[in-house]
Order: sequence, then structure tokens, then C-alpha cells
Amino acid sequence: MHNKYWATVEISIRQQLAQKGQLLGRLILYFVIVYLFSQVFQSVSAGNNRIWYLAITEWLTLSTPPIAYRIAEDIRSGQVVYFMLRPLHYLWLRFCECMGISLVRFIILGFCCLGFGYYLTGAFPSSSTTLTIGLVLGILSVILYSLLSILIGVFSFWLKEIQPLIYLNLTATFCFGGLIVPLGFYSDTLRTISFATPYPWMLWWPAEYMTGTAPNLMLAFLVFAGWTAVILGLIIILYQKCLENFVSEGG
Amino acid sequence: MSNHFKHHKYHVKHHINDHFKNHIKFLYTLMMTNFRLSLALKGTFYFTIIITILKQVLFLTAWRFFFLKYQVVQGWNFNSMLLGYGSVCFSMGVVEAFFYGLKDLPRMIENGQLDTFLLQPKNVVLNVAMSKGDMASFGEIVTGIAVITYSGYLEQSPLMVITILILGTIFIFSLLLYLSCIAFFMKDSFDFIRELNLNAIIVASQPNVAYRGLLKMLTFTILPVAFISFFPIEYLRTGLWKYLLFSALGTAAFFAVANALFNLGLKRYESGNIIAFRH
Amino acid sequence: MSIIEVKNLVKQFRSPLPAKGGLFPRIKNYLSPCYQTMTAVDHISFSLKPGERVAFIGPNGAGKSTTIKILTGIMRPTSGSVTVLNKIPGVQRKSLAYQIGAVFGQRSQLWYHLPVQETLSLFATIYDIPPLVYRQRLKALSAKFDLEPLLYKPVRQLSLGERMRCEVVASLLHEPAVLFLDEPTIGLDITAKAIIRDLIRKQSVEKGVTLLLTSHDTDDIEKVCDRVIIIDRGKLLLDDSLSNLKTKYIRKKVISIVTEEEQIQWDQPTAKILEQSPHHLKLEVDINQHSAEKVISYLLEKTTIKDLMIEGPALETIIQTLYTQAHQTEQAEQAEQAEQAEQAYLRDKTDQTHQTNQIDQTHPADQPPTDQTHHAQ
Repeated sequence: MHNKYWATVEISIRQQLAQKGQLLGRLILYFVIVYLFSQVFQSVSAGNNRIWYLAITEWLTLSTPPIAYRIAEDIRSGQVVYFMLRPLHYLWLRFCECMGISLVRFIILGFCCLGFGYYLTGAFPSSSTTLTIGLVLGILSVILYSLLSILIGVFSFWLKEIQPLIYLNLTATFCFGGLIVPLGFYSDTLRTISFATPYPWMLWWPAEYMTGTAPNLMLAFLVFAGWTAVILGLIIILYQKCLENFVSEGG
Repeated sequence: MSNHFKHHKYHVKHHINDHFKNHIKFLYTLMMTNFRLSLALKGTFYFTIIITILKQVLFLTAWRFFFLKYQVVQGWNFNSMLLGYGSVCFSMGVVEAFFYGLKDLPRMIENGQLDTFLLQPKNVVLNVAMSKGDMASFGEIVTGIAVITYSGYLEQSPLMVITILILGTIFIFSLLLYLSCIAFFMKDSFDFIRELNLNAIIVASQPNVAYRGLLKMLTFTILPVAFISFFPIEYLRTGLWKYLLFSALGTAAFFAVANALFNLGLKRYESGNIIAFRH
Repeated sequence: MSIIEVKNLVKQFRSPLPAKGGLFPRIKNYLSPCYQTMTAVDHISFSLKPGERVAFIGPNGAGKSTTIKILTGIMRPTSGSVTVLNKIPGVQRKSLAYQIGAVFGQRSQLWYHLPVQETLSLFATIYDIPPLVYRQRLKALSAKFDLEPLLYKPVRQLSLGERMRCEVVASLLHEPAVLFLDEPTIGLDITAKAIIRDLIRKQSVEKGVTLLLTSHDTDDIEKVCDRVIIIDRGKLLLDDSLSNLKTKYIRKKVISIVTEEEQIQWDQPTAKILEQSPHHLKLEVDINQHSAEKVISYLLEKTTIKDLMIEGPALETIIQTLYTQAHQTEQAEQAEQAEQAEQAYLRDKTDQTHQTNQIDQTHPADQPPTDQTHHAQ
């Protein structure tokens, strides 16, 4: 029997492939940002590893769709009610949708990352084995980032506008995740604060691994799993609370 | 005959004055309606301001560490970066506070929601732009000014900084309008346009390495953010008037281009071919 | 003197045909796309006088909304001429906007989070209504539409019926000469519909506002309008008064009787049974062919009638019949055209064969020589 959630993943993949404009927008954004900041790093002779770091972190961040907007829109318009009438879990549905879209972007942007990074630096960052393991880390990273996005979306049940939270998430990714400025540049205090958040485990860790600067893989996996459990737990608890207090207006 | 002409001239002048006053009154009413709407959602209003300030602090902290490691990047130091970033922040804040409708314009075009505005006897661009306002963007305005003040340029040349901020605001308005026009020619483009907006703002607020190589062509032509970032800051750094002139002329030209593109797109919207078989 | 004048209006839409085949055909299609044209409005003409209340109806996809959009200036026609209040809508849209109003049942023009009064106040500035005049009009309209309890409520807290009343008031604030109503009662309950219809008609009668209403609800048409324009597949089917529509086009009567007897046998060809249940019978009489009087006389002989009602067919039935007739006519025309084309083809083929045979007979020298003739030469 064809599982309904797996069907959602399949439909999302087909839908993302059909939305060529959106894909094109992501590609342009990727190339512009990577090129721009690679120029910044090249002008200060930062080295090829910095450029690869930048290409990888951007690849991972841009692979995730802004699912928080979608959830917020559903809640604001009241469409979420129709999902509640059906025999499926709304957030799990959105997660599967997110995974379908992310898969397409992950693959396309992954090829762009490898190709563009090679064009800018003239060499790959590490061995094929490291890159393959790095690929798995990247997938886990995308899953965690998606869960974070869904958590922000759930706040739409309380907040009329979640755009500030989305921007804050983006900035926290930039700052604490080492999106463009690596964590090695920070002071000890700021680095400690960063590691207390889930962001470094989503970006800095996979990027550092793939550029050959291998942090403790086992420890990192454990911390990563821990953060996934925490965010998932928060989502479940908040969503339950939201459903109890949900009020839908209009006539 | 001369009395009749004077009488006619009086009526025309009176009519133009009335028309102008009515337009100002309309824009003021729209602005106050948006303001009241923002205050009606009090929690979101204050929350947004706090988050905005926090966001800017985090962002600039990261860049501070970057510039601590590499003091100068292509002639730009941390203060130049602060000025560039601050002016984009301020301009974006003003546009979001008063002309937030521009961000929704692509969706309105796609869904045929421009009809309501076309039925009203007011300038379509301004009516659409001011149909929504996010007063919580005052957080961006305040942090923009704070960042520019911290850079030291406001104390050094206050008049020039104010000129740059005015030009920057007109530019960001034109940029959002310009990119929104893509929706007239490309279907399902709302997400694409949102990404392009983000692109443009990121490029505009970064150090001036954007203005060489392949990106130079882009930032001087198709996406002319050089007029809001590179030229004004080069003027303040070097004192050469040509940079300010380029910035002013470029902004004015871009404003004209954006409006022309909108009118062209509107003709296509009126032809109905955007929504072809939906009638 | 017409307030709306439409002459030979045509509106066509062009959309690109999707590419088929391999990579090169797709690239070719991208660089030089092929288009298909669809005619939404096909040479329609009509006019409205000041104060008229006209229903503009047709099935889904008939071209109603397209026509309304052209009349309001939102869309430009492909060809033909349109004037509203002596202005060309597509060209003089802004100045025309001061004199027309529009209510879209499926789209709101109110500000969702704000109280109703704020939107109305904004509309006053949009239409340059002086404050004193605005206050007077708001007072009058609020009393008429019973808006006073709603003025300070946010729009999102209103029911659909309350919201529609506010929408209508918002579109009447600037006292337009023409009001376009696009399905204003959609989704409303019976009471709310009756209220809206009554208020709109009264406003038109008292203020002389010309109404152009599109609706799928025939009660809207009957209760508000005096004239009906029907379009289908872009073409004008009918333009006549409501009373003529009821009496002229479908000449049928429906006779409903309540009988003493539980069941009566009806086998007369003069009327068709529509409904039959214990003590109740409903018959339809085509008065072009038979007389209602004769049917009733026969019933009086056959049974004891406790109650009798004679009525015309419902407007819905009339309109539905007109649509069906139009489609049947179109299908018949298409079939006839196809047959004529086939006959023309066969004729051409026959002519060609005949000509070939004639050539063979009249020009023996042109024919290739047979073996015998060749050998003789």
C-alpha cells in the first residue's frame, strides 16, 4: 500500500521540478552570494578552504525551502482546518513536503557547489570518501534546518506575523552557524555561545568536515541527534497546545 | 477676454491645487491607516522591533570579527561597511514601513488582485505600495541610523549622509517595484522575486568587492545596486563630487525605468493574457 | 441617451501552446512560441439607459466577468467600442472611477484587521469626498443598511452577510452613477440574500443608480432586475425584459393539483407529468400546442380537486432551456458544416477523377504508345 506521506514527498519533488522559476531564483542567489563572498575572501588571501567552506554552507542553507511561510499562510488563512479534517498529521505532511523540495534543491545545488567551487579554487576540498560522508552530514543538516523552520511556523498559532522570527533565524544561522564568517574568527566567548545553539551543527560542522578539518565525528553526531530530539519534542508539545487553543474566525 | 482667461487660469490652478491636496490627504490617510493597523496588533509591533534590533546586533557582531581579522577589504574598512549596511537598513526600513504593498505586488499581479486598485481613481503604484505598511520596520530605521552614527560618518558630513539616505530610499522603492514587474511577464514568480529582492539587498550591503569582475556588470546595469552602495560611500571616502552625481542620476533614472516597466506590465495585465483562460 | 454603450465588442486571449517532442522542438518553441487564441467575447452589442437594472448572465466561462472587466476599464478589448458615461473605460479609467462602483462577491475591498469605519473613511479620501458630506452619507447609508452596530467591529469578525452589506455601502459612498455587482450574494443565507437584494434595488430606485448584475442565482435576477442579457460562449443569446423572458420564450404552464383521490391515472398527450405522489399531481402543458383550460376541464371531470395552482416555469428552467437550445443549435450547425465539408471533399474528388478520365479520352497522342502502335510505327 502506497503510503500517503511518501506520496507527498513524490508530489513535492514533481512540483519543485515544475517550478522552474523558483529553482532558477535559488540558483542565481547561490551563484551571486558565493561569487561575491569568494571575492571578499580572495581579496584578503584567505585561502581555498575558506571558499569551499562558503560554497558548502550556502549549499546547505539554500537547499531548505521556507516552509515556515507556508505553515504561517495556512494558519492565517484558516486552511489548516481542512487538513485537520483529514486522516493525516498536518506537520508531518509539511515535513514530507519540505523533504521532497529539499531533495531536488540539495541535488541541483550540490552539483553547482562542486562545479563552481572547483572553478573558483581549481581543486576539490578533500577526498571522495570524505565528501561522501559529508553528503550524509549535509542531508542530516537539511533535516535539522527543516525542523527548525517548522518550529518557527508553529509559532504562527500565537503570533500574527512570524517574519521577524524568520529573519532572526536567518541571522542566527549567519552568526552562530558560521554561514559566511567561520566560527574560528570569533572570540572564545562568542564561540562558546554559538556551540550552545543548534546552528553550528547544521552548517559549520559539515562544512569543516568536507574541507578536511575534521572535528570529532562521533561527538558531533551525538550532539546533532540531541538537538534534533529537542526541536522535534518542542514541535510536538507546542503543536498540541496550539490545537487545544485554536480559534478559527470568519463566516 | 483677458478677464475670462484670468478666470479660467484661476480655475485650473485651483483645480490642480485641490487635486494635489486631495492626493496628499489620501496618502496621509493611507499611512495613518497602516499605522493604526500596526498598533492594533500591538504584540507583533513591539516584538518585531525587538527582534529587528537583535538581528542587526548579531549580524554586525559577526562582521566585526571579520574586520578584526582582515582590517581592510579593497579599501573598505569596518566603518565603510557600517555606512553601506546602515543606509540599506534605513532605506529598507522606510520602504517597508510606508510602502510594504510593493512586497505583495507580485502576488497581487498573479492573483488578479490589482483589479481593486485599478477601479480606484488614484495613482496605481502609490495606492498599491501604501496599501500595506509595517510600522514595526521603524526598528530597521532606528538601527540603520544607530549603525551610521556608530560609523562616524553622520558626525563628519550629516548633510551628505541625509542626501544618501533619501536617495537610498527612492532606490529601494524603485528596486522593489522593478523586480515586482517580473510577475507581469513570468507566472508563479512570487518566490523567485522574493529571492531576487534578498539577493539585491545582500549585494548592496556588502563590501565593495561586488563592484569588480562579473558582478560589476550586474550591479551597474540589470541590478544597479551600485548607485545606492558603491557610489555614495566612495563619495564620502574620497570627497569626489562625481560619485554623488552618479548616485543621484542613477537613482533618478532607475526610478523612471521602474515606473516605465510597471506601465508596460500593466498594459499586459489589462490585455488579460496573464490570466488567459481564467475569466 | 445610453449610459453604457457596447458595440461589436470582441475580446481574445492568446496563450502559448506547450512544446511537444524532443529537445530541439522545445528550444524552437521557446525562442519562437506558437500561440492559441481563445475568443472570450465575440461581437456582442448592447446598451443601458440611466437607472436600468440589468442582469448579465450566462454559464461558467461565458465571458461575463471579462465583459465587466472591460466595462470597468480593468481590461482592454481586442476590438469594438465601449463607452460608459461617455468615457472610454480603458483610456479614461481614473476619471471614470469617480462615477462607478463595483462589488465583487468573491473578493473583498475592506481592510481585514481594521474596523469597518476605518475602511469607509479611507474610501472617502480615495473618492475625494469632503468630510461633512462623508459623515452625512455614512449616516444615511448606515441607517438604511443597518450598519451602525458593525461600524466599530474589525472586518475579520463579521459574518459573510454583514461583510457584504459593508462592501455594498463602501461602493455606494461616492454615489456612483453605475454599480457593477459580480455575484454579490454568493455564499449568503436566504435571509441575508433577501436583505442585500432589497437594499440594492431600493438604492437604485431612489437614487437612479444603473445596475449591472452578474449572478447564477435566478432569485437575484427576479428580485433586483428588470432586464436580462444572456451570453454564452462569448456570444449574445438574448437581450430582453424579464417579463418578456417569462412569457415569450418558454410557453409552458405548470398545473399543480391536490386531489381527493390518492392516485389518478394520467394518460393524456396534452400534458406531461412532472411529479406525482399520493393526492398530488404536477403537470406541464405546452401552451403552443394545447390549452391549459382543456387540461383543467379534463381534470375536473376525472377527479375531485381540493386545491389548484397554475404557474409559469421557473426562471431557472427558462434560462437552462435557452442554454440547451443554444448548444443544440451550435451542435447542429457544426454537424451541418462538417457534413457540407465532407460533401465538398467528395465532390472535389469525384471531379478530379472525372477530369482525369476526360484527359485520357480526348488526348490520345499524349498517351504513352501501346506496344502495337509503336511496333506499327
